[in-house]
Amino acid sequence: MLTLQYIPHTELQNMESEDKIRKLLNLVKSDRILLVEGRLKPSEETALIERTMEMIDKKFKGIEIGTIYAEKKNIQPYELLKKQFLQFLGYREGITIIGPASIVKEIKRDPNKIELLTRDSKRRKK
Amino acid sequence: MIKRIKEAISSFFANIFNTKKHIKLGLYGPPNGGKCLTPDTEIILYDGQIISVKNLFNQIREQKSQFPNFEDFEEAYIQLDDINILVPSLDQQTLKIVPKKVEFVYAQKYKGLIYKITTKSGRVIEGTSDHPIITISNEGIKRTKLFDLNVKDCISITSNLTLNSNLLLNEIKLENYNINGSSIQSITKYHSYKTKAIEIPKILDEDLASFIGYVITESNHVKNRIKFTNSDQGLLEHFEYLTNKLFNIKTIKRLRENKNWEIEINSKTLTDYLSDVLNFNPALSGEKEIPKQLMGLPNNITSALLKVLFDAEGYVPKKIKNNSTEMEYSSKSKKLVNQVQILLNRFGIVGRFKTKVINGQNYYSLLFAGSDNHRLFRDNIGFTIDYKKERLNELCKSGLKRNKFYLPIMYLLEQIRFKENKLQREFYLDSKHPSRMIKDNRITYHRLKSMATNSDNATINILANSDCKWDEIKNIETKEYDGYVYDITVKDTHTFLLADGLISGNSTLANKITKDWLGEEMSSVSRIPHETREIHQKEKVTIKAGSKKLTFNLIDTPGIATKIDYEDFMKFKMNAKDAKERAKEATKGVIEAIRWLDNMDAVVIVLDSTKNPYSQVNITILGNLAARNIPVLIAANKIDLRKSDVNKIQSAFPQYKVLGISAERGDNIEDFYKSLFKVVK
Repeated sequence: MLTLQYIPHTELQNMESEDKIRKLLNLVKSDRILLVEGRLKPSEETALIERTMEMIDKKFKGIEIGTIYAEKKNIQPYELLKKQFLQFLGYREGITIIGPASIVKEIKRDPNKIELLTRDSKRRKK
Repeated sequence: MIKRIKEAISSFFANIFNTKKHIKLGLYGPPNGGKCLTPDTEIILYDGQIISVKNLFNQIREQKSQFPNFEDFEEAYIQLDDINILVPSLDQQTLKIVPKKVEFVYAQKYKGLIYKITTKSGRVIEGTSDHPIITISNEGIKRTKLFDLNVKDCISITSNLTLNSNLLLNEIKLENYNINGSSIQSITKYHSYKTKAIEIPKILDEDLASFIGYVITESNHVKNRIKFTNSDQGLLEHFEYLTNKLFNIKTIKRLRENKNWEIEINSKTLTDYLSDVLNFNPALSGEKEIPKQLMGLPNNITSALLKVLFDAEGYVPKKIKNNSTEMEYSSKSKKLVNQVQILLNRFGIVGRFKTKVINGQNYYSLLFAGSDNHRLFRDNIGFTIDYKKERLNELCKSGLKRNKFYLPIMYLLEQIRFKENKLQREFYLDSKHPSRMIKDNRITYHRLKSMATNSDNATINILANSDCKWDEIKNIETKEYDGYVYDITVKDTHTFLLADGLISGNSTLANKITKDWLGEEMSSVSRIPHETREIHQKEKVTIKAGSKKLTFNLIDTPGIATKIDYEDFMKFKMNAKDAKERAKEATKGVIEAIRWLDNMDAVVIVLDSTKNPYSQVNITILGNLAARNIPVLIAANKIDLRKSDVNKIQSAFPQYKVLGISAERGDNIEDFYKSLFKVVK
């Protein structure tokens, strides 16, 4: 059975990066696939990978992460300003999927589509 | 505020490019192990010289004085431009050996496994796992990496080789001699010591080649004297005759205690002259060699030289024991034995090498079996000494069939036969042996040659009339190595010859750079995932192309992953404990790669252009780099594959310069350079 957990932006927006990452990783380690509203900052994303690496052991094999958001190619100047202002408040656009590597084999991403490939459950039990 | 931001950005870039320290170029993508040979590997140049890859590299480095003359470097490529060095090279299409220009020489520090491949005929190549050589099988002729070779695979060696050296002798150094008409006399420091005047020849002819041959083999050659010793009166007389004829020197003949005759030439002028003009210097028996100018002379002069060498040091067995009875040439000098094989290649004679230890000293031998080889020797070279002449005639008459070389291509030939709709009898011109040949998957050259006379098939004709033979691998060893490795790049044909005749592939410069920097696939030093588990900083990496030159510190990272499963390592025959240890190291490598992001001045990211750009983990770092204003170049690799789609990668990252390259074929490397220069300058 797969457990999907939705995490709205409001739940994370007031948290420090470190706490945010700890929270996400703890949930992933309990075998949940997270659907996070918005995106992590680039620095948070690398910090997430860094923490993941530190946690890897016999049981926890790492994570799969994928982000989807619509990016307009020809942005008007005022839109750009608006976007930068919103980014200042947090990357709310799009959605981020994070899952444990022992369950999620691969996250395939296209600009507007996301596919989640899961591992064979028999294999997982090994 | 805008002004302050601008200032911050400009000072950031000023810091990058004005500092005396080299910029740090980060490489994110799977790295690779390079393709190189060990430093002592000797190669053949077209002018007859045999030189180690290390010495060739250093020679070019000295000649290119504009190239930074650093003592300790990680990696360096030098483009030869106007320096014209030719090497004999095998054209893989025609299987003919042709002279080709060396385009680049290359050296790098290397720590890892070195593969030593030994063939049945005693030829050896030592190099890194990625170094290619030419192999033949039922799939045809292809380049195979040392890593991928197996015992019994067949690799190419040269069988016909013609080098090209100058018949005209170099001018003497006028300041060293008193010249009186056609005779010369060495000038010495001491007035009391008078040297004898000698006549000197103008060109390299059969007589001079024979004289050199005698001095190489049976002489005590020191600074001011040459002593020739032999038991054969004919050879003694010939040596005396040549000395008088060529140099107009009187010799002293005396009987030694061991009842051998000795002819002595006391002439400092002669030894000086040989050293000046032919670079022929006194050498210990283990270091004797044929002067390079004698390595590529016309057949008649080469024959005269070989005849003397074999008269003195050649051996023909008295009795014919079996089909594999061999003629032999032995010496304490390995280089001399290699040179003799190169000279014999001129007449199509191919032998095998053997090392034996006598009284604790190494002796090297070249042996060749088969009446076809013996006949070639008799008809083109021959002996002066009567008993050797007679024994050789016996060998030629006896029809020895033993053949060390064959081609493992019977399934390939059978396919051709089916296409041509011929019976085995018609195709192989034999009805008795084909089934055995198919079973053993081997055909001899002799048979292939006779088939070629009866067939229009291009494959059969090219193989039968090729300048190479195929030699079976007998042994593969690996050893740990820590030091420099070297390679050269040959224009068009990308092959060159080692001193013992083994044909080596070279990697193209493009391949070298892209393999080493960008890594086409996981390291093939080992195919185990996460093989590179730590950051490698290569200092002062210098690339030079055209008029541009760039020196930087290359930070070779393990790349960034989000998952590491120790069970993946166990698929590579690793026990659980080692696999866990390795996984732990891999996680540390990823952490380090992430932390290094802060220190980079510019970054090259490698993506696979055949795969979905959005799914590749390394893109995680792009946002990070953009946030820090670190210049980025994206290399979209594998554009040689049909599935490749560079546009897809470009549209995924419109804000970055994306350059399609092929690590395998070396496509677009010039553009890659240009983009790299632009990104960092």
